[in-house]
Amino acid sequence: MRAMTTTDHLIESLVDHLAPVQPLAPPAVRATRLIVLATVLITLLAAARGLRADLDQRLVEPDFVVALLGSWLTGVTGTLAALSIGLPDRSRRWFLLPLPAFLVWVWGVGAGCLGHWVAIPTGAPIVADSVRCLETLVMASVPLALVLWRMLRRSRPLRAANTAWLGALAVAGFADTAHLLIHVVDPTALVLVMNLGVTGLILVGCGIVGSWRGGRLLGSPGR
Amino acid sequence: MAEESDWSALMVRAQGGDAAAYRQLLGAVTPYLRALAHRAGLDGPEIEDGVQDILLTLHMIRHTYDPTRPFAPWLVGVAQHRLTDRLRRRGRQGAREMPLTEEHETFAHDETNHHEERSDSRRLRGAIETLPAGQRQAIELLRLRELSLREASAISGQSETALKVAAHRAIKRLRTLLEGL
Repeated sequence: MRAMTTTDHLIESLVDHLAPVQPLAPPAVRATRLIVLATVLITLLAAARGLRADLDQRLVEPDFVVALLGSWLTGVTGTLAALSIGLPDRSRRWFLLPLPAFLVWVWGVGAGCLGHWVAIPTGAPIVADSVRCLETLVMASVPLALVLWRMLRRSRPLRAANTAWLGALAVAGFADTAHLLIHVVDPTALVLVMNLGVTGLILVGCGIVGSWRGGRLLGSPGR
Repeated sequence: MAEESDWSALMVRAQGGDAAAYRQLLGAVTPYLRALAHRAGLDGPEIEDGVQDILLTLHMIRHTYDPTRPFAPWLVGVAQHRLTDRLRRRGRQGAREMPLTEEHETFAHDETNHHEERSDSRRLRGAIETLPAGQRQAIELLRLRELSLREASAISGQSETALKVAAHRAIKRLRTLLEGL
């Protein structure tokens, strides 16, 4: 009886502190906002930093087009999945949504590497481009990661770790789209390592200090 | 199914700040949550703890309910998540801890067998009642119900810092009150 009385008290407490809330927009609507932002950011970066010199030739190669579409679609599906999987009435299977696009992306990049691994234009400034490449990576990843993190935090996802992995994959996808359009050096591995690696480090670090169970970084409810 | 649409309607009103609808909704779903907790394998007082976890989570993420979708799957999703969490925690504790039995609690020395703890508990309760409302609430939420700062903040509407300060002051005051008794 005592426990039930406590539950009744809890209900009264919750009712006493009820404040109106704005229901979250559906994941597809929120995902669209981020996808539009990512596409605008990629366009701005391409305009500011210049498209790669051999883009015309590469755009007629199926491997390159597959890699480009695959990376962008990984960003799109990863965003949608990240915003969906943390909601209580959505299935865990949302985790699989970006998988086909991710495989297409990696396959396109892998096939491109095999076919063109010595085909970097003669005299291409590889070292200088690698530095610019890192700058593009940061300029594309950081703003998108921050915006997505804020969106995810507002949704207080229940499956925080899965949400974090999907978010990182989405940002990696969009960042690589920017790279493929701007740089000669293919940075896919770097993009993946940076985005997924940083996420992995955060997850492990939070696990070590014991805060991940509450999913604090994403505002997940928990004890 | 009428019940399901009633719950959805109540939740939509609760999202708009209608306290009566919220009270009705929480009261209506509680027996259902108890059944879910029982079915998940909880028993005894754990069932109520599980139900309270679910109610707290429901409160904290009520903005994630989409009024265009049915309410029951959303509620079951919240419940399953919290109950699985609780069962996992129990599994982990069970693997490294052993529950105390009466034999464990009864030691050789007389002073360990006093039943005065009950009167101590009454004195403590009495002292808590004398605290100012804000401090009393902080002690109840953080110490007696053992909620996290975030959850206590969500329920009380006070900031986490304000709760920490109130709890600290309350403990200082309780110490003074109990030492004086």
